Amino acid sequence: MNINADKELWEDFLNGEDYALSHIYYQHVQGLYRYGKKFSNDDELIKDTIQDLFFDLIRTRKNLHGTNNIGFYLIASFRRKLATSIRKSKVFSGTTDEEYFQAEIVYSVEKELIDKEELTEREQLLQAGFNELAPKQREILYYRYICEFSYDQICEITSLKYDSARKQVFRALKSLRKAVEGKSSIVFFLSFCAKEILFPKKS
Amino acid sequence: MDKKYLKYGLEDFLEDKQFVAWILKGHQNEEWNTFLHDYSELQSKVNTAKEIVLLLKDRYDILDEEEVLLMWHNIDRFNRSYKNRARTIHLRRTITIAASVLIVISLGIFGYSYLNNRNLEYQFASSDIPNSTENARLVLSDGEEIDLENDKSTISIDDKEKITINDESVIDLSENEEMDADDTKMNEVIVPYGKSSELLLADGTKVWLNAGSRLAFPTKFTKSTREVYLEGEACFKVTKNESQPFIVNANDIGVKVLGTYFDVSAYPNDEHIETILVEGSVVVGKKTAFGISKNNVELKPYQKATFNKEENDIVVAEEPNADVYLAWTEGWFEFSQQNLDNVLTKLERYYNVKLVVPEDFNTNRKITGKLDLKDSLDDVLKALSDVAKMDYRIDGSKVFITNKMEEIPMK
Repeated sequence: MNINADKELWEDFLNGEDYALSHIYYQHVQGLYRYGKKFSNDDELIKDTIQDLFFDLIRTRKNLHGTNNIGFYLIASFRRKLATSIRKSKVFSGTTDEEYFQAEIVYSVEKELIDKEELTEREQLLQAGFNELAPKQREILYYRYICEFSYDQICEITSLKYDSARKQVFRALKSLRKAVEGKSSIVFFLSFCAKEILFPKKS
Repeated sequence: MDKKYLKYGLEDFLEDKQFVAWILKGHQNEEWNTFLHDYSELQSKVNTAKEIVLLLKDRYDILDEEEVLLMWHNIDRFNRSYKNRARTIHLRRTITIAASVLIVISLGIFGYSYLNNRNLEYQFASSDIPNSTENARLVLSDGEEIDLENDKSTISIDDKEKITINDESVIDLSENEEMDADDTKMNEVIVPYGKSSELLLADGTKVWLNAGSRLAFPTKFTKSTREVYLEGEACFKVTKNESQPFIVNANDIGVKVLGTYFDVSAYPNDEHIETILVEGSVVVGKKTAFGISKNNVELKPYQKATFNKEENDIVVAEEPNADVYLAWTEGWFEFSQQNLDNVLTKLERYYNVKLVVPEDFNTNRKITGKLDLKDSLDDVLKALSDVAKMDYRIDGSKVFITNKMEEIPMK
């Protein structure tokens, strides 16, 4: 990502250059939509919220601060707006569930595996690896490897502590690594147990 | 390539921005390839890391081009209207300093935004504006209902709390104890579609109430402000009284004035609430929950403030044809460069009919003209059909509009 280009583009937008608005829109609309889909299946709600996000940008243009990462700025504000819209829509549909706002991120590869009727041994391992990922871990991985955010940015969005965010990523990657390298957690667990039985620790 | 990578473990690669950017976007592709060729011992580590990054790639959920374009149009339109608004207000600020001084001195009239608390919003006692052939009604604050038999009724209230209707019947409220001078008890005039009414309030303020509207007002103005509530369209000629400002509450908008001549159009079905000023000076402000709206605008004569309910902001524009908006008070309907659409909607209200317009009918064309609303609907439509290039057929309470048949050219 060319950081300077983002900074300039944003400044042009703040100065009221029309080209900048359209550039920002076309650069990020798909990313925002895809991100929105992780939280809700309601297409209209996602599109409305994206539109609203841009209305807000236009309205508050004079008071906005500079940024050198437009993508991050948009996702962070979009996430807040999305939480509000989803909560509102849930209130209307009568759901009383407290956990309104949780990303349900299913990675593309995972989806393919779910759709497949028969899985090879390797694919089964992959699926098991994905299954180990908690919702929060999935969300952080999404920011890390799809949005390419830094840990500081991830913490800002998820209000996690730095260490905790790192730990989550570390654990998630470990699960995936095992899957990719062909060691299922069960094998791992068994080998661990076997070691314990065969060579018990001396107390 | 940095030699640090030689010491990297799998996790380190996964945490490395440059590495991820190479996998996802092919950044520095050549450098990476040469580097890995030179240090082939890294190959297996890198491959696993690559595989993990690619596992997380998101490939689905793409918005189609059409939707993307549609949303862009909305955003672009909003951007333009917002910019225009900012420009008009900015322009006006510089001009009005001198002008407002002049007005305050010469007319002694000024106004400022009235910022109302939402909790104080008035609820009309009558449930709805009747859409039928019913007469206009006056509902007194004690619930008594009086039919205003004429199509164009007049009501006047004098300072002795006597109400005169159509210059005939007189109701004396001064001896009614339940209805002693209490501003919180409101009378209502409800004017159905196809009717209109003129009111003279206790302070001498004259109100013309247009079709399909209702107004709530006290018998006597005793509080520090003179407050009325409007739904629909009305024209006000406010009696000057600097110590007791006059306030028109119209949905989300409040207009506070001390004496002036203006028109407020606030039909619930319309997207806009419009305030058109002919004389004096008022400021139109949004009513907010906190009571303060920084977005209020001061109107000068021959300006129009349009509050867009959806976008929730106020646009001010010059309106050299402001008189046109008030023509209905004299039974005229004047319009200048208006969308045919707006003209037809007004006629629908005034004559209480339903206009049926075919899909291919262009209602956006601009027309200018003047119609006498004292004429029958048939006469009015006849006059309109020439200008608007349309044909019509009246069928009971429905009017079917069609494109005018092209005349067959003679050979």
